[in-house]
Amino acid sequence: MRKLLQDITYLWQYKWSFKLALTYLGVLLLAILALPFLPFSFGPNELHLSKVYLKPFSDATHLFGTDQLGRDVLVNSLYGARNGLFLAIPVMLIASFFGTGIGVIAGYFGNNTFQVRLKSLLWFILTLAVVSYYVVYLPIQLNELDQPVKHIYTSWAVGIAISAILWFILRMAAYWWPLLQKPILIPLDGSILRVIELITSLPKLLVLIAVAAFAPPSVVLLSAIFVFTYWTGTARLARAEMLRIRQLPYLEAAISTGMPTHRILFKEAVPNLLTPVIVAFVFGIGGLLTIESTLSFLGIGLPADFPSWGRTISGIRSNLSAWWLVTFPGGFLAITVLALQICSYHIVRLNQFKA
Amino acid sequence: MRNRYLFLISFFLFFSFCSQPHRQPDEVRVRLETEPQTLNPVNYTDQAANQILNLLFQSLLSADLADDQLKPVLAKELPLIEQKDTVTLITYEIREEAKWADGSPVTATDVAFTLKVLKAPLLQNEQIKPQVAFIHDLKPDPKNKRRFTLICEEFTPEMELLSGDFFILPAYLFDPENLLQPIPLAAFTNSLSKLQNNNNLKAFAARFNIPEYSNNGAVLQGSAGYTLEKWVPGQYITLNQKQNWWGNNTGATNLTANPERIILQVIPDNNTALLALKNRQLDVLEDIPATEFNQLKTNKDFIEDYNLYTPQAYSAVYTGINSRLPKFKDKATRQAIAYLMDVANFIKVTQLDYATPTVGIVPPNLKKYYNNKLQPYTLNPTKATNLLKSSGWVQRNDGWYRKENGKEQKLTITVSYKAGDNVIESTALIFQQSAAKLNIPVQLQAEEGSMFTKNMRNQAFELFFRTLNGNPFAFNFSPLLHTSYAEMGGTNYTGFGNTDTDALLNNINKATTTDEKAIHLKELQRVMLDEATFLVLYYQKERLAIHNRFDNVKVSGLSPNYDVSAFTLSK
Amino acid sequence: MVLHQLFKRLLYAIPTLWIMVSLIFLLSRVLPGAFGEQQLLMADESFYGKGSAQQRTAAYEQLLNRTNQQLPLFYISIAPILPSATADYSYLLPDFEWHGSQNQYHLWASQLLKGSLGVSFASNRAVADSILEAAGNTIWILLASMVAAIALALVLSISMVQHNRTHWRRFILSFLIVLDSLPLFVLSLLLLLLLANPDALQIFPAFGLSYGESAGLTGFQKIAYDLPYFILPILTLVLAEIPYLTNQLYNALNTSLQSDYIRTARAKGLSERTIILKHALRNALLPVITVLSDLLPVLVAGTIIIETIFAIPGVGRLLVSSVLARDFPVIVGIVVVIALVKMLSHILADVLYTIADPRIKHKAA
Repeated sequence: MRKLLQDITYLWQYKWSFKLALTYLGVLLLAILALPFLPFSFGPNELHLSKVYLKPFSDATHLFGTDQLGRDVLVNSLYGARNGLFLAIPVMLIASFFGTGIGVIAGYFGNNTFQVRLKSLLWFILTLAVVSYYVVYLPIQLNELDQPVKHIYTSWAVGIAISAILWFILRMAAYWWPLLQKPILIPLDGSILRVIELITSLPKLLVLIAVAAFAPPSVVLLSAIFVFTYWTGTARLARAEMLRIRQLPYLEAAISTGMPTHRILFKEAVPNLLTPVIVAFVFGIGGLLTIESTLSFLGIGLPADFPSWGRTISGIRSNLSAWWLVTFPGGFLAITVLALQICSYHIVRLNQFKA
Repeated sequence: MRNRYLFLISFFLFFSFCSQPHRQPDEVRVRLETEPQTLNPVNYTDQAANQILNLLFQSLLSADLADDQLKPVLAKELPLIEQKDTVTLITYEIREEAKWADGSPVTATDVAFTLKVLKAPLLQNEQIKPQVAFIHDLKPDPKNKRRFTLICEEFTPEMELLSGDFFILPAYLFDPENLLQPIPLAAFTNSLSKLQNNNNLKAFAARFNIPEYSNNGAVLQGSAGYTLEKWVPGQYITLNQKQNWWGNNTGATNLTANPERIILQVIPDNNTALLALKNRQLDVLEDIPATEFNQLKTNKDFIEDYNLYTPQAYSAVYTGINSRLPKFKDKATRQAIAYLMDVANFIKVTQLDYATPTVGIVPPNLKKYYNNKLQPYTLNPTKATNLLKSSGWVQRNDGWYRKENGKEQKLTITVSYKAGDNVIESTALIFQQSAAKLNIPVQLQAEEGSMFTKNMRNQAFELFFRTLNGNPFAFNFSPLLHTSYAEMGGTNYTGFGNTDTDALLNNINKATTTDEKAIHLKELQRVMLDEATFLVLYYQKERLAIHNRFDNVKVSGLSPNYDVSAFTLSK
Repeated sequence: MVLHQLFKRLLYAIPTLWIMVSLIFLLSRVLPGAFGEQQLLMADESFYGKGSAQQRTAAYEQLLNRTNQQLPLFYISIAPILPSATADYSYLLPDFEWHGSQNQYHLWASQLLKGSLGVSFASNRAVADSILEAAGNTIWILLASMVAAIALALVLSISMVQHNRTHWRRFILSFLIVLDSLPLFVLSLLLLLLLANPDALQIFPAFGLSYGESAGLTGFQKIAYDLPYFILPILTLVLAEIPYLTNQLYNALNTSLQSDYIRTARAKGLSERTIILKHALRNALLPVITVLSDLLPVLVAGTIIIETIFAIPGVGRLLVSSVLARDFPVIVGIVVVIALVKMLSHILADVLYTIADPRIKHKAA
């Protein structure tokens, strides 16, 4: 982390484009954080039904024009930035975190090194079944039937209790039955790859509609789906890089000197992975910002009173000549992504330079 | 240097594609927004399939889009309807000229065969089957093989329409081995379980349940003026005019097959369709977005080649309030909500004034039945406030509260609508804003199509906006408004009605003269407006463009809004 | 050696593929609603009812029976809990039910083992035919765009790593980034408005694969006739794909150019061009393989946006319409085919990795 800060200070001093991009991002961040307190005369969802499709600069109060319902494009662009980044950054952070972790584990351990005892494996499988019934399935059913909350708590308690009892039983059984102590080889890499393949082969649309069936469109839900589908990209990248790094002489040396696994991973491997992960992160943010507007285009995912760039842009569908609906939020989108890219580009270059 | 040449060459290649495809003058190119799922004449599901099948097959009766009247097509004239005790007898005679593609005449046997196919088990006929369930038997006239009487269950007003509203199939082509002939039609009403093991029916099912009966032009040959030339899935469907078609000799203006070739082009996206129209690649485009329509009006170049039409349609936007909920149980609260519907702005903003406000469910252009003594609700927050106060709601800083069964409840409204409909979404947003001025929080909930209808059926909604498809010739509002349809799963979603309104609805159905019907319909409009449970907000106008080389386009408010078979080249 | 490894991996893939396909089948049925439910039970609001509710329910049951949708989903199921079960806490005990082989999964799986993906509920056609036809419409467009995009990305990234072209590099990079930030639907709408609009430049036809006039033509004539319809979607896809491809290639090239053996090659006095083409490129291709293995399934899966805007009937559109209609055999068929292609392309990528970088002694096999 300290290294990254050093890099940023260095780049700040010597690269004007980096300075510009970072300033822009900083101002944007400040602006969107302070947005609810700024003195705009109207909110992003405020309709001006007598002023629809106002051209930009033709009205003093609506500098960037208005959309099909007379919503101000400037205010909506700013709120769109706020909502877009509030959605994209946490999603991408979580997805990258899990993706990198899982990818590194898959790449490092491969198929032939990770072992667990049979009793733990058995416990894991049984607990998975118990938990999915008592902690997930049953409470959902009870909720649908409008049963009192105490039944849901009971169900949770039973689920946890059964898993605990199972753990004790298996522990005891292992004394009498040494077979349970036998280590089992887990093909971690293969299993993780299969899970990734499963997730990537499910069309996102299908997932979205299936989930939308249980709950109305909401931002949290959409973020959860994004995290669920986006970590795979980073994971595959991290795994591929890990496979490469593992073969490098210094890592082999570290392994042979008996360095603990977590130290090898955190001190030697992960810093080397950072470059491709940052690139993927930045592209992911840009991708998320655009996919959110694409979802508006297809009419699924986000609630109608959630101000977003996509919502404003999709207004062009009912009026092809309303260019300002694409230009301003689209331009905003492009500049933001551009700034993100410049920052990541310089960091990547600097790391390559050092290496 | 080499690169530059390459670039130049590709540039010229690029521009050599500029030439537009050569167009035949009497070929009509129409846009389909969604492709038909199937062209099976007894199992089609969508409007597009209906439009195409009407060019291949004929029904006994059909609406003539020239004047929106129900007219005989295969039938010689409108049917004779007799009500006897518990049954209704509907007698038809088929036109003498009517011929199948092979030249053989259309007879009562074909109608009986069609009804068997529609009513039989094992066959793929679920979509149209419920529509003809009321026809129990067919009695052919022993003297005239083109004359027959349909024996139906007790009378409802839409029977005339429905008894003639299915495509008549050619028995010689669909059942050359006469497999269904030995089974009497009445058997299909009573002993369905016995029939499931009938070998003849099984053999016919094996023959009929194949893809050819839903997409092959060699099989789908009816008595209408066109044959299906080709269906390239996802791209286009072409139809060719029949040579020496019998319909040309009848003199009936609603039997037409004028264009030589009809191409129905599948274009899902509206913007693309609009561009194709501007490129003169389409002859007809409906459902043009209002802003674009206004721009086309002022486009001189475009007006030179196209005529624009705005017929008054029979489709309405309406809102339903779940009157079963405690907070919406009393009339005054519902009326207060009605006073928050800014209909004038709904029409202005979402339809650009291509719509007509209405007081009720009857379209305003049906002057005879429309109650013009009533005034529709308009936005009026003061009245809404007073009504809320009168029904026990108390205004506080953060909203309105009322005691409901001893518990204090806040007035909130969740608006449900089908996701992806821009007009309805904008309507909901405008309503949200008007309600916000009174400090009533409105939550918008866009639901995926099948989810939405499921919630309606399960009565799991507070307020919804949706569209209603009407017509000028058959009114039976019972399924929407009668209390016998209000149980869980019924089609009276809002819970409208009481014994008085039920009697009113029955009177509308029983009315024998138009004057009597008008009195009851006007009363229904008054009651519905007063109850404010099922509020029709406005009737839309269609917006379509048709190339001006065509005359006799029969633009109408009834879907599909024009009769492509009637198009003639203007001089 | 490579063939052997490929074979081994394929063999290993079969059980996982089967689990995956089964999961997909079961997951697809999580979608609420069934085929025909909406049309039959919840007809459009209208002035009169087409058939009584009872008749409609009967017809719906006939449809369910005909399409086997009324059968239980799997061999075993947990009976839904009853509200009364909460009184004595009996709901805590799962109530398993056994259904035998008369279940949807069994019927579908035995059909799949015979090599059939089933028959569409909606169009009554074999699912495999529908998918083949839809994929056949888009595969050339996607293939052409992919080849063009890769070629362009290679040319661009090679031109960017050369030392003397800083301005060029900056220009291209910013251009690509801006391009990348445009959502695909905006990009295609822009191109459409610019290049197929009588108010701007009317160079290409606006939509579709063709109008059906080329039906009588053959060979080259047909291609020449249909080609203009392909260009706009191809152009859009190329523009959409190059930013990511170029960036990956460029970064990889850059990294490998700084490695030791390239320095050695430079020291030997080899020309910049030879170094890049002969040495750096080979190493740079490594991450590109991952990217390519992602792109390959898209060949089959199609892109919904492009298909909707340019009115091309591809797999994406087929999937959307069948999801909306709940045409389960088609949904599952498409997802299974995509999963199969994905798995194959992943295996291919792994094998290519070992070929491209012999240092990896592949352990995943």
